[in-house]
Amino acid sequence: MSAEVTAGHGPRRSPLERRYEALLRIYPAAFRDRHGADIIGTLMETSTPGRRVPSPRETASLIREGLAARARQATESPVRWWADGLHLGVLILAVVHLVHVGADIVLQGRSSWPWVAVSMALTLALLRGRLWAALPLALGSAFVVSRAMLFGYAASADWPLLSNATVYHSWISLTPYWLMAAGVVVLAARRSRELQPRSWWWLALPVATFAGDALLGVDLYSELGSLGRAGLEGGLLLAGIWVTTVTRSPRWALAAAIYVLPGELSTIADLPQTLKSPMVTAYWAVLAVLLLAMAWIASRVRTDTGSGA
Amino acid sequence: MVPAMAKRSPLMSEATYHILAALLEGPLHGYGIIKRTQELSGGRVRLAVGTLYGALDRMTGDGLIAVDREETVDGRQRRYFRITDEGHRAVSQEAARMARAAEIVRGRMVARPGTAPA
Repeated sequence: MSAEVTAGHGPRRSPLERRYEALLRIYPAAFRDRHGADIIGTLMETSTPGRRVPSPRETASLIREGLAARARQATESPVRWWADGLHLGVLILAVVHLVHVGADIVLQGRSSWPWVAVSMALTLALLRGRLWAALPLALGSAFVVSRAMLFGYAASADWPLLSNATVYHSWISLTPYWLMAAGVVVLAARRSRELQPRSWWWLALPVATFAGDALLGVDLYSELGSLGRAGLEGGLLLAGIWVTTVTRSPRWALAAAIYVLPGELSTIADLPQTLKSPMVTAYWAVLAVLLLAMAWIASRVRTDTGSGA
Repeated sequence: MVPAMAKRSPLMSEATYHILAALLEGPLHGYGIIKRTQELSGGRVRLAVGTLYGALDRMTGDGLIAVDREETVDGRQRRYFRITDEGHRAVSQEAARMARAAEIVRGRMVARPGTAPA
């Protein structure tokens, strides 16, 4: 199928071509630079004359390969796989923490603004790969949420500026915070200055949760909120399995383990209570199975060593 | 420590095999490769464009193929790919491996009652 040519303006782009070009945006920019024009030419040659809408087969192929190319690009950085996976894991913990801080503001109708600022700054520092900024914030956050366990609830109740900050009353609940702090310490100690900045899309999660709470009245801890969270976690773990298969890199399994294992640990520690609820038991069992599947695939495929590809 | 799997050379994907086979007779552009692989496989292999260029990108990176030349036809770019010596060696080895695998079965097949010999 040939393109129409207009004098002095090159080929006139048909609606089909414009739609295929929009689909190509799924690919990383570097891939589009290398093959974009060629792919469009081939797509137009394979299309039947008069067609205006991309074929479902080609659309599915472009989406799958575009996402795979993005995943492969993520493994091409000079960062070692374990440092990259650790970075992603601690970022996920920071984002989830920010989600809970936002939910506390809406649900409790009160806020500790220094705590909100610290939580946002920690997430942003990890998002941009600024470890030396994240280090004091991660350690400080771990101490703040542990204050009742470290100093007693009464002694810490009136801490200036932090009286409404998140606090936990069991060590098992504090595992994610100390895991996050330890992860940031390890990354900072090995001077991972080359850590790549992560996508701003990670901030969509706290923003969407906050908007859902404030505008739609969907509480994070309600049945609908819990189902949404479980669906998102399951979807992301399935995506992680696919990405691990495509890239042959264990970094995604490490990041998933950092997020899932503290919850599994907490569940095992309180097993009799967990087993009383079939839904809760099924939820943690599904997360465990998905994590194990990802770890198994990561162990079966080529481990990326050396340059950390 | 590198796991045992890392030391084993990965099997060639079907798309890679057919693309290399299509390029054995000379350089082809994207649409030419799609048509040639379909002809060679008797219509069984129909490469989607996304699949084709994902494979071409990886194969270029692995040194199995290289860009031969670029042309502009009807205002559109056409990039021709050619097989490299490394690609020639890889597809020959894969063909020999599959022939050996087929021979294992063929050499042990016996005519069963009620079936015609192959």
